[in-house]
Amino acid sequence: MPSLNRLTGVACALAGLCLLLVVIPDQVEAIEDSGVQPATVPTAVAWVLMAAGAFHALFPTGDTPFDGPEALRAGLFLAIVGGGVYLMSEIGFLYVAPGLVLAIMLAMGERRWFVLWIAALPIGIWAILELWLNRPLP
Amino acid sequence: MFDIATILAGLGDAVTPVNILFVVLGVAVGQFVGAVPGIGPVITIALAIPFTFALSPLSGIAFLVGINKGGLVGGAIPAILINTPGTPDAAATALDGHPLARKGKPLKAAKMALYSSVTGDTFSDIVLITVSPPLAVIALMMGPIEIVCLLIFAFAVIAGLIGKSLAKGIVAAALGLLCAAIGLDPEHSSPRFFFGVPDLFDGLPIASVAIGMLAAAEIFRRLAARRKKIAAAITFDRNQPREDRRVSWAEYWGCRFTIARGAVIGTLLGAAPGIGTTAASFMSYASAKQTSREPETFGKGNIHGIAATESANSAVMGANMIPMLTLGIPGSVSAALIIGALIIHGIQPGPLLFEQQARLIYGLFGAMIMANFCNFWIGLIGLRLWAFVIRAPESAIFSSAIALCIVGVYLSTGTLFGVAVMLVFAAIGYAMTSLGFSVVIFIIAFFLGNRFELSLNQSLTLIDGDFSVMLDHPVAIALLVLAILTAWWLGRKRKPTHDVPDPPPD
Repeated sequence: MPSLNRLTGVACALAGLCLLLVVIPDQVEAIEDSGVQPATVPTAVAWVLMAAGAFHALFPTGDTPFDGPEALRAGLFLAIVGGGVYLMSEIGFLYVAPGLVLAIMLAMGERRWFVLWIAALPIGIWAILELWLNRPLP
Repeated sequence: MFDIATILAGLGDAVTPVNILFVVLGVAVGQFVGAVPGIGPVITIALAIPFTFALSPLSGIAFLVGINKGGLVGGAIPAILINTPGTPDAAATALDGHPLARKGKPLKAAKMALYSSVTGDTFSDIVLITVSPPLAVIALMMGPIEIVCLLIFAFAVIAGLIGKSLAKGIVAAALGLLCAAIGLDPEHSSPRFFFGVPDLFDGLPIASVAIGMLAAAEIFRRLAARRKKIAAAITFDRNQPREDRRVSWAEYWGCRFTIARGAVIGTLLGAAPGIGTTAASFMSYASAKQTSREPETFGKGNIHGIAATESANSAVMGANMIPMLTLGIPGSVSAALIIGALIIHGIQPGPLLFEQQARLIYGLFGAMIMANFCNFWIGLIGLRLWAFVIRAPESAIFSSAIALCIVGVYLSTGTLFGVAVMLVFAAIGYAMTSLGFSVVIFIIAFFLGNRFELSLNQSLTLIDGDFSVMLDHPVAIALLVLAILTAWWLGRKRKPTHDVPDPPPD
């Protein structure tokens, strides 16, 4: 079975190919009568990705310090923060941020009393920025 | 030329009690916001400009300069203590600063950063004060062809940071350039890779990418780390030997060449607009590693690594003022904000500034030197304060840091879209580190990508297929030759033991 390290090379080469054949033609306009096209640098990057990825797939070097369970937990925290940011766009920073900070601490396993003080920190930030400096927050 | 009376009067203006107060306040605020991941001096300068309306021009500008200088020192503190750079400039400091802190010498690492930073900053201020006009002339000679060659030289030096896998380093650089290409193409302003999202017309917000990859990704890593008991974000041994808590004169003096080289690199890159502190600190780090007798110790807590990065990123600050004051061209975002503040105060930066406002300029120079002095003393006190704060449980530190990252990016970009981009790049940064790709190389390529593409396009248009035009650009040829020599030299020196890791995961 190929190692994860080797697979990263395959993925990079495929990403370069996809960029060259699908993404660049679809997302970059060609300009007539121009020496340097908008696609010049992205195309060069796509070729580099393919070449370096293929080379790495054939001759893998370096480490892949990937830890699956840790990545899952990181994904959980990312989802919590992402959800919090979405709620901020709907409800507002003042109402969501304290809950978000509290949720992160609880997800870490923190159960001590000071979590309530830390959860109040965003209220202080909001007061300084919105009330004192007149800088709007979401 | 100015008469000595004007110079002395200007320097005298700087040391009035009111100006001293605002310099001290600016440095203290700058160190504070620099030490808070996500906020940083640029946002703070933007917030502070309206407050300077009520001040005299000198007090106001000295306050803003104090924030900028303080921010560069403050940014190193969380980079060293919790591996979360307070500002992108301090990302390179984490490479050796955090491993040294993990070895039980956090105060030594932070003090080395402070001393190197103040030394580099003072050096570049002296260069600014003494040789501004001639350096401005050199900066003016840097056309697109020279800038492209300078960036190629920068990439060649930074290639020294590529880790164990050359292919992965190249992939990371390519991805950085690709992300920099998102948005309007610099030559024709035609949109690229915007996928129907109008927010991407202006490209990816730099603050979102930098904070996402450098700070938020590390915070998520620390949040997800397996733990039996929630510990302090960093621990300090009360019985630590004194030599582990301080930087001896011998250690500082031993780093003199590293600091000097960093200061020169920072000053030269700072004088050329648009290159920035992050590239300067990584270039300095790479050159320090390559010239070291013990390159294998870099990335594992070598004090020279801290000295190299901090002297370089702080030296950019003074040098950034050279094109700003003499040509009216901002060398960085913070310099652009200070230009805005100067204009608001009725002062037009440019070639006539030294003739029309000589007294004010020398007052500003006096304030800059004073700010370095304040940076040193406030830094010594601030280190203890921040060391105390960061002894709090990591649950409190990292949850607060996430909230501050969200606020910082929102203030910088003005939309929650910027915050969403930050989260996306936090995930990308996490994945890249986990799969062994260099986040550092990615960030440098991203920072320099737009400038590189713009200058490349302009150069190709100027050259128009006739490469003999290059003969009219001796500076560009010299830089290209230097780049080739550097790449050849690095290739010869490259051994597996020379590899430098990304900011080390704990």
